Amino acid sequence: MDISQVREAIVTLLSDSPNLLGKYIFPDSTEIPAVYVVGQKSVPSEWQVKGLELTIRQYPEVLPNAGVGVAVVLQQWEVVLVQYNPDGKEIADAMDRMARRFPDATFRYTPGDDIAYERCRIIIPDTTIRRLYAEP
Amino acid sequence: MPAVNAVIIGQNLIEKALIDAFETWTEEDINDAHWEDQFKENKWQYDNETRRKNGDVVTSPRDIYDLGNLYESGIKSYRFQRSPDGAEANWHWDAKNSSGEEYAWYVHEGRGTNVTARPFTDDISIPSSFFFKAPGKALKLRVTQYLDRLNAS
Repeated sequence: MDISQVREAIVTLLSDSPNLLGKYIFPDSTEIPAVYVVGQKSVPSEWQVKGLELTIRQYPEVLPNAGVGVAVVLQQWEVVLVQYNPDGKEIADAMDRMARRFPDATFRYTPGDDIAYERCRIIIPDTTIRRLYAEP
Repeated sequence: MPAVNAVIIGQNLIEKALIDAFETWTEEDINDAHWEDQFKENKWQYDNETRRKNGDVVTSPRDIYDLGNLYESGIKSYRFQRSPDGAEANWHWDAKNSSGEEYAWYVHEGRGTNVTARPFTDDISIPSSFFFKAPGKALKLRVTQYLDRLNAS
């Protein structure tokens, strides 16, 4: 999978009826779904978040293991769900959907408290077998 | 009709070798080496500039050592126990902040959006990637090493 496939799979999963994804609100009050791909920078701090936020790290961790003529390559995608409204229950439903879509993922759940929002970091493994490049 | 018979002999010695390999791995490869890499290497991506308690101003990527309180609490908590069922190693990062609360989880998992997770135990605690990473490879090597010694003796 590449980042656009991962993003599409998860957004489709979480926006299916009933939609679980929250919204980003820009300084000019425009709203978009709270989905962000984290590359060099995280979500701009001037964006407000309402409801459940989904962030996905742009680049997976790539872990190759050598075979004979092939490499077994494990890519690990990191996805973070944060529940910005403390009374919201979307994160529980989102974790349930994610667990059923990605049953081999690892879930790291943190309950909300007076310091931090309720949050779940999910590591999704994606293993492929690739041919080695032939020597010139 | 040809017949082949295979047996495992010295089961207790094999078990002991595996547990000895596990103990050496937890002590030398993890407690003495892996945690140091996790805490002292500039490997963690982080958005904001931070002035640390040790006076350093750090950007990204950064280490998570600072004054070393969290790191020290983990390596000093290392316990290894053998039992009739096998063996177990434990670590507990119980360093506390100025409010008297343990803060390891916030470093490990982050907070909200802009405080990034620095998951320093993931390399040994995520099953799907364990044998792809250095600790898993080191454990395989230790097991091979200890079983080879058994064969040699």
